[in-house]
Amino acid sequence: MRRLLILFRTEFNVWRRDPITTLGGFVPSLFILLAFALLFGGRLSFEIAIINQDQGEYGQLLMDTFDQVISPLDLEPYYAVQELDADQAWQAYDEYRIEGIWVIPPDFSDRITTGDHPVIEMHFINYNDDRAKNHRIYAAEVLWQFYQDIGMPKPPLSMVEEYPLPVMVDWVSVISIGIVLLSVTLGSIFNMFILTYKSQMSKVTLEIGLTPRSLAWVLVPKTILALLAGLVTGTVFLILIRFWLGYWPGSDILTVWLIAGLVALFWIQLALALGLIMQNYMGGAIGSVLGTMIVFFIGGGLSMVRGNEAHITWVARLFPNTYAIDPIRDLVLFNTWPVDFWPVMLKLVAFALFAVILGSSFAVRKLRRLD
Amino acid sequence: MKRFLLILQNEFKMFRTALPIHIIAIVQPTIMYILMSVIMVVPTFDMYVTQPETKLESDLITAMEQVGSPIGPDYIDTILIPQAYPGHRQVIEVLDIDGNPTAVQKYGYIDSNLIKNLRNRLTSAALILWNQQLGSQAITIEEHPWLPVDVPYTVFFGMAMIPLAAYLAAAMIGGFLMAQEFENGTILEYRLSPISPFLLLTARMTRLLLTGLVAAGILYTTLGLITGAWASSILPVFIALLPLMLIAGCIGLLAGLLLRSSLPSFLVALSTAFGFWLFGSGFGLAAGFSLEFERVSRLIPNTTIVETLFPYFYFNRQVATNPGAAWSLVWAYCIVLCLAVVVVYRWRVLSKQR
Repeated sequence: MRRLLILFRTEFNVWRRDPITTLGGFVPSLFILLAFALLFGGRLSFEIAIINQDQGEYGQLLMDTFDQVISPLDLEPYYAVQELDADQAWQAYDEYRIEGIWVIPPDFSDRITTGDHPVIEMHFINYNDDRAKNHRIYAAEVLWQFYQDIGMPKPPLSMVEEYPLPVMVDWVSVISIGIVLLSVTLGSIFNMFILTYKSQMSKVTLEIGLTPRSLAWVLVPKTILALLAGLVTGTVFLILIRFWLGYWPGSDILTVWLIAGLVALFWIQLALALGLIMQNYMGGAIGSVLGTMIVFFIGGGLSMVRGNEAHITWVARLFPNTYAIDPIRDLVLFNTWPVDFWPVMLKLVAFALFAVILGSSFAVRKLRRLD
Repeated sequence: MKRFLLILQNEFKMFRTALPIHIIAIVQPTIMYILMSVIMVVPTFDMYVTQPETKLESDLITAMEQVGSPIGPDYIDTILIPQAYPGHRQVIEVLDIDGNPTAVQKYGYIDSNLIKNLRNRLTSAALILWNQQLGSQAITIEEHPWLPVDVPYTVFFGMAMIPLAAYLAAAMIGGFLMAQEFENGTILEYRLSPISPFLLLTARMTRLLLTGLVAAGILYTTLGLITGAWASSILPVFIALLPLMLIAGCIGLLAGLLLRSSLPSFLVALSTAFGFWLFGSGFGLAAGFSLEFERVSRLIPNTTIVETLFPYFYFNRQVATNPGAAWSLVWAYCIVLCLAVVVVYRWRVLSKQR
């Protein structure tokens, strides 16, 4: 036990000497969190202008409708109508300072009153098909409300919605939990690197390889410390999210640590093995860190995996993050116990065991080789 | 010039000393693009509906199939199921509620973005039915899109990743090589070298720019092969990347010189590369997001580069509102960072008080 404590103390000193790398999981994850918070956390309404040339009352009524139609995305209207005259509006549109222009023609009210095919022009930006799609389907929401406001005959089909839970989380919250898992993973990997890279650089690996004792004495403290560093990094992000978005897992934090810890264990061992196999430790390190970033983007970092099963690639399914992310969201965002907890745990334990066996075997084999 | 070419040749020979890092730095953004293009958001959503039993339900299915773009994809892929089982992401069932036929959309998960998308699509389909009922009273929305076709999001995403590829390669390799000089002790050769430090730094920077161009070229080719979107003119696209790569190279070299360790230098390159990409219009043109985001984005060089590349991929449509000011800022970054590299190099490598 005393030997283990000495090894722990030695590893702690490595941290003190390289504080920047110790923050390896924190810095990139914070940048990503801030970027997504600014991208999707602000008001997401499409800024448009309306050129109302209508001679009657319906044009103005339509303009008033825009503020009434609320998006569930950010609980703001789908469109933020800008007060611009026609010339300003066209110039802003040409320079892409607004997303679109609705032109209400002079005879709009007349045609509604007489039932003579009223028309509205919708000019919109379609440089990506997702935004173009939004214009088209948002317009349907506006017209639906407008028909009700002006007392059109009832629609043939009404609509209602049923939700499984009384709360709805926004997109940034969904992404933020992806970033928590990313930070745990990156924090663990970076700290594993820092704890082993110095040994590689100063050729201490030879002495380690020559030791008559089991190499577990060297590898276990490093793995535990890297794991702890990853969990601390992730917990810092959870605290940030608690104060910023208001979500906290409560007593389920132990389960969150367990799930995230198993994922981190997989990556720690993978990074160790990669670094040693490639005979260029930094190459392996960089490869595994960038690999983690890719897995964040393709493995449910930006959206719920359960809601997008069809879009999860086979590559993403090779990594535990894809399975762990939704149960963590259940615990943190909805404070509910994951329905698939045990199947997920079995998968994560299998991933971690596989990685530990593989990583340790490679590490021991590589360290014991004296050529 | 001959001396410069010799140093440059030597710089390229160093490629062999860190082969895996070069390959990873050059190829990683392309791999990321390939994988993300598979899962990238697409306008077509799977929507589950219970098997129709009445004419109205059949009409709803027909209307759902009509929701889409006249110059792009359909927005709904209707999947008929016999019954609304729990566990579906979403399912629509038409029920009679208080004598009114009602489409009940049941959600399996609570994510506001998903719900917005599913709700809007159902409303679009229900509006088609309402318009059919209203006949000549129905309002027609006459579409005037900005571009002749709805361009897939993967095109923009790939185009905005070209600066990331160029930046990551230049910053990561620059930082790593410089830090390695300290770790391996070869920095001593630079200290003792009679060659002008300016020549040495210029050669290294030239090598980083060329490496960045290779990374950008690989991604550009992949983007073209996957989406069929090729720039209307290639040369300006790659010329526009040069100042960004200069910035990346400077940041990498500065990290290597100041930190003298490859792992934290890599961390700096990684954080700035991904930070610049995300803040710098990586997911969409800055003008399309919140004012706060746009303000930050305008300070990031990637935004200027993305807006400069845009017309070459999008029918020559200009989106840069004030290109003069934006480019002045980029060049100011280049000058300040180049000066900083020279100053730090003198301090860390040549000064006796290092």
